[in-house]
Amino acid sequence: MASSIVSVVRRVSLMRNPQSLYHFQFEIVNSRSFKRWVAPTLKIMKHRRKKAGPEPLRHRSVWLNWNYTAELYAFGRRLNETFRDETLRTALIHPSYLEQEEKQRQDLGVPSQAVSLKLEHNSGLVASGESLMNTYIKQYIRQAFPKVPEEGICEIWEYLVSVDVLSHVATHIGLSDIILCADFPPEKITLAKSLKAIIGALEFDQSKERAEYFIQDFVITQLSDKCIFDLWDIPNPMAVLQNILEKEGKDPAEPRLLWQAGSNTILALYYVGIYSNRKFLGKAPGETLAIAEEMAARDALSRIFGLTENHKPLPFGKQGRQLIINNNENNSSLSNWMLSKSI
Amino acid sequence: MSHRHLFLQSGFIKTNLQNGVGRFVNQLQRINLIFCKSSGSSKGVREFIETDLVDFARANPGTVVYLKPRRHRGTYMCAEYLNGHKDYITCNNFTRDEVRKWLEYMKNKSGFPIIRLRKHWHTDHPSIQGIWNPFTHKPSYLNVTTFPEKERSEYQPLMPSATEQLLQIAEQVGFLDNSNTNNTTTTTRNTENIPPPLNMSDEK
Repeated sequence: MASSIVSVVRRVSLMRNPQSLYHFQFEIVNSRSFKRWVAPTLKIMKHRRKKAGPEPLRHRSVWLNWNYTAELYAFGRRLNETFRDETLRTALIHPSYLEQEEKQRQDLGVPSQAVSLKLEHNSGLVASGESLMNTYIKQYIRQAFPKVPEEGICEIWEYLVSVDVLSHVATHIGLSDIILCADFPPEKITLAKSLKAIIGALEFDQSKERAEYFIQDFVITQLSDKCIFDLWDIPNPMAVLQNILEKEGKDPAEPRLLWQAGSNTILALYYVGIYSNRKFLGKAPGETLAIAEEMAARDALSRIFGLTENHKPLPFGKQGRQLIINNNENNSSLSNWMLSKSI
Repeated sequence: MSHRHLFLQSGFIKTNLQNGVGRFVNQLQRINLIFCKSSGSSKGVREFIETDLVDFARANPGTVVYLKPRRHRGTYMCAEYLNGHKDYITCNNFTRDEVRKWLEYMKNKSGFPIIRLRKHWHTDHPSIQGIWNPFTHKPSYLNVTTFPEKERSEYQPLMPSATEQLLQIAEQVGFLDNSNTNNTTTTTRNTENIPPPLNMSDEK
């Protein structure tokens, strides 16, 4: 319990006085005491807080220290990009915001000709940004992974342009505070669209190249710590491998048990290698023969597609700027994939 | 680890959005300076605002600076980062220089709360070779080798012997004629992976 020295007003004496019937004499003294009110007050406050529920989520602009113009300026400068003010404002206005505002005006009884806000929304910029992002990401991945079949390229691309990844990027470059939309907190799809609109705005204001570098630096870098086979699951790797070898006119893949240890224990280990006409393709350990065979087939595929763990890192930063994309064709699909063509 | 750090959360170093892989983005989004216009404890902050703040804002165009005069309250700075975190520092009785230094500190942070680092490095893929098993790095040709094998049983020295080094030097200098060199090649061992001896001819 809290204790402290407090000043207490104490009646000292009671004495008769000719002027008044009773005259009290007071003096102020320091006395040590327990603050018996502290714990109960805190308890009540905590109870009230719990009853009221958590603080409602409010937009940053609700607070007094908010300057939208300054925020917009800082947004561009932070990312080292120069936007025109009108383009950036347009890129951040979602159609839902205009609808909401116009409805609010109607409800307030504003005359119908004055209801329209005369603001442009970002649908056009979203579309242009989206198309640029789709083409550039695919071109980049094809350039970075020339041996990966088109199916794999599509899976990687799908991951990068997914709403989850784009909204994550949009939030962490500071878009969620400055976009104007009806939903709060902004939905993931709105955030993803805002990022596309920013890319569209960059292409419109600066150049296609600047917009592509932006995509490279903020979207494609999300791939930097990912294992490609986590994104692209090959359902039956052995069949795929057989198919490739058959097309090449090579002998079918032949799994062989290289080593085994601890069979009939919970730590059983089988090490399977895959060979075609005595030529090594891949090897992997596994708990059972079936698992080991499948993993060995995956290992063989990863060696063929150039996706082993020690493959070259993706070109970002300085190397990314030097990247010249000259391959506009699709990589060959898995069914037409040729070893000779890829090398 | 001092007692103070026992209650720190522990974790690994991390960055916001793979920052720096593509381009570097300063993580400080906004900085709010809250101060009193009259009280003595805000004097340093007021001086900082009068003299250094414009320079700071000019040097960091990506950061929005807000000033919030609050009558008769303590002074503090509140930094808002791109990852959504906020950080506060109480600046009562700070000098102008201290305010500048702490602002610089706030500017250079990643925005993640201070944690006790378990290690000074971190990787999502701790092992490139995969989970160890009894056959890791074991060449598969050993399966069809009969032991004892002569080649693998031989002693393989790391360095050439003194005699071999001398012979090599003699060969470099041209001291040995052809009939002798034939002889040396038979006596010297396989030195493919052996580092070359000191080159004496350079000293001449």
